[in-house]
Amino acid sequence: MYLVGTQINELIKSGELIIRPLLQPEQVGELAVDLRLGTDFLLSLQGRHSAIDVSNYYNANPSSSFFQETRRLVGEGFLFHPLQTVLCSTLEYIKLPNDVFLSLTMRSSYSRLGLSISSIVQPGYCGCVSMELTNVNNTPVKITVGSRIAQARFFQLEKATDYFHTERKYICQVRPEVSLAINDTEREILEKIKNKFLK
Amino acid sequence: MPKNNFIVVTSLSASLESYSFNPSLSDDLIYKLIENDYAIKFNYRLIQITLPRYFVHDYLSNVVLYHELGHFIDLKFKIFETIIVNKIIDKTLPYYTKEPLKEGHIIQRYYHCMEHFADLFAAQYIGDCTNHVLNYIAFNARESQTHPATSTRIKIVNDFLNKKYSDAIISEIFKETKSRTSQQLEIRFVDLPTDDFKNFVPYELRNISELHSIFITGWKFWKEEKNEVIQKHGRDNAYKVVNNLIEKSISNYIVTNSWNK
Repeated sequence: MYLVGTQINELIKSGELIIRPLLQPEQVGELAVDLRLGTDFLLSLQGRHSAIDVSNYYNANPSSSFFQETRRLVGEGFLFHPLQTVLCSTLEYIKLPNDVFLSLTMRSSYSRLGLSISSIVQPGYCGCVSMELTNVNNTPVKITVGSRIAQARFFQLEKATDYFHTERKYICQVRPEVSLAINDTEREILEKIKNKFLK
Repeated sequence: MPKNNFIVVTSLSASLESYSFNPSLSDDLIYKLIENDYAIKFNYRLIQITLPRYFVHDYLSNVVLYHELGHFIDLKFKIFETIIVNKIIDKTLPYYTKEPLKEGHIIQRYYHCMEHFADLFAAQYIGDCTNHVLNYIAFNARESQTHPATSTRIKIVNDFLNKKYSDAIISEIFKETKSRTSQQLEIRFVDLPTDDFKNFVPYELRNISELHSIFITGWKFWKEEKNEVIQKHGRDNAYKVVNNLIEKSISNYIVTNSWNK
């Protein structure tokens, strides 16, 4: 079931849905909640290594070595250079009920500048919502930290789920984190299969 | 210099033991020299504190920054400079021992008193949090030329928090702090429940006292014996969770305050 503004406000009021900080009540619109650009960023860097290798469990350089961490104050500008991947997160910390998931898209005003995102956040999630933004425009775009750049649509399921029924890699994250794909459990199985064939 | 014209800046060091206060830019001397030679006037003063890069997001460990700030206050108001001139040199300051101080111990006692003041300054805001960190990094450490024994430091902080002012050094610190700063050393934190951390959400802090107290709440959560978060998600995850939630509680407070002003 798609949740509209009044239903979202009821969930917030009852404490089932937590959005902190909700700087303006008007962020909750008729169909979605506007979310703001957070203060922390991880910028992709071009270094001496040829690739970010998440296929090599033992010898690869960590993903973090391909990103630079930086922070801006709310109200400062952040420059999105063309084709540079920027990991950032929403200013708002969100805790979803166990039967509500969230779909995140850019607000159209920012899509028109060349930024796009499409992401699903699972029921029960808690943390700032991660955004992987790339400016596909050929011109740098400067955006004020704290601007309402994304919108979240909420959907209620018929049955509740348990977010922690499997081990989670990202719990209560409050700033962007680099990919932990190399920690995926199937990596070991795939490694064994590869070694079996190579023998 | 008005008290709001000081800016705390932190630098990150590769060393794991590099919590320190750098006094070089906190004194007026360097600013006066620059003004005289180059006619540049500075409206702000810097308080430089160094912390290990590895611990940049480790807020439970970073409570010791309050202690480092205490060193700045001590230096700025010349609290222990006064004590040492008035009391230690003429050997009238009773200390841990009733034996008279030997000449070689004077500098050591001076350093130790500075550490006690910084500990008490921190304890005003974050209670016994620095004790927890001391127990991790310097458990049972004996006294050195620059630092008192860990057990002595913990006792003096606990005495202060329990309002036992019988120790001579605490009395002297109280007296001289009041005299030099016109402010009393006092408890400035409040008790916050750990519920929000257990529910994986940051606090909505309402005032400065609660802002300081978030570190105490973090430590209380981390040291809880039957901590369900640790039991269910493991110590590594729980440690990350509590640090993240402290960070977000503080940044939300700053953002919300700025927004509402």
